[in-house]
Amino acid sequence: MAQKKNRVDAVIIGYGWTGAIMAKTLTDAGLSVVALERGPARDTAPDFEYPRIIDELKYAVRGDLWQPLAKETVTIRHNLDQVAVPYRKYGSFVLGNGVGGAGVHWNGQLWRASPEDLRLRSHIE
Amino acid sequence: MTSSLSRRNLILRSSPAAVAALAFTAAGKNPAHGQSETKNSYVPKYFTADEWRFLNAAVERLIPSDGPGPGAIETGVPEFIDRQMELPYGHGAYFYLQGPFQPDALATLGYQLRYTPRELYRSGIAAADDACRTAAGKAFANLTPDEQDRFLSLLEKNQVQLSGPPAAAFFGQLLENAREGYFADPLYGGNRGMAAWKWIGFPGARADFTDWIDQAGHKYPYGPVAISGARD
Repeated sequence: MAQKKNRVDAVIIGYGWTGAIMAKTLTDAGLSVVALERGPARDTAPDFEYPRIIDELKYAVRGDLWQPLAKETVTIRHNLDQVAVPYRKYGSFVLGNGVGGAGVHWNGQLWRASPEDLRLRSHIE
Repeated sequence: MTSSLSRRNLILRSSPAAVAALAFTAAGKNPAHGQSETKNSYVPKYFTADEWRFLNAAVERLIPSDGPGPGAIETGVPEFIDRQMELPYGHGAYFYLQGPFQPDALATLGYQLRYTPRELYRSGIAAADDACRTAAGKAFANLTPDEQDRFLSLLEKNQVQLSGPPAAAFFGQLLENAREGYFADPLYGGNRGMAAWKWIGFPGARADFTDWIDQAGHKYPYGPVAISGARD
């Protein structure tokens, strides 16, 4: 059944680094903001406790904190002339799930940018 | 009688290079190859006896025991893979495996097959052994190391037409899981004794490195620690 909530100025879908910074900026400007997350609630403890959380196979490789693609995925194609196909296994981008955004899904790793990352448009065009 | 994986015996997809790669005879230097699996008392739960022989022989060639570091066999990579098959991962729980399927989709659109990892191994191993028997009269595990390397190379390049999945997809699954088993935390059955971590100098599941941030150029002094707390 639909729930009627109080009206706010802005709704942010996904409260990771990007959403949180946007929310801070908006609330500093005096706006009221609601941020939405899908999936389970998580907190620093116990969900991200050492040493369990630095299991690379479970999180960085299998992606146990990501949206399970078996449950829901997107379709992808490179241009409008192609037939879009399901995104079946994680590759170039990951879809978040649960509380915690990119900072969680990257396992706290921030790799040095490649030369292509820094001139992406030149690289793909 | 030496065996020969020849062009006429394998249905190839292409390339003169592939034909050249196949044109060898097996004067193998190590016919007793595969002996190292006897050191492993692990009994597989998913793989059959024939599949287990293939798997052990294949990962031994991918990460050989006589290579520069510890090999896949003594670090427990086959056990790791077998245990993964029993987990949701093996059953495809992480992947979207419903239709519609577009088998001719570009490789840049990622995995587009319907196989779970379990299915990919089951059909891939059977088809690979069939291809080896057709070409050389032996299952993969009974080929010489040189022949095994050549066959794996053909799989990798998708230059063998398997009766099941695309050869490169099967090889990719095998290589990916072999790497995972070699380098993942020992709690999953591979990387025994953290041998792979010790070899590359990886400190494992250590909590933080803040004491070392301002010590550029200093060698990190500690050996690896596992998630279980085990240390070297």
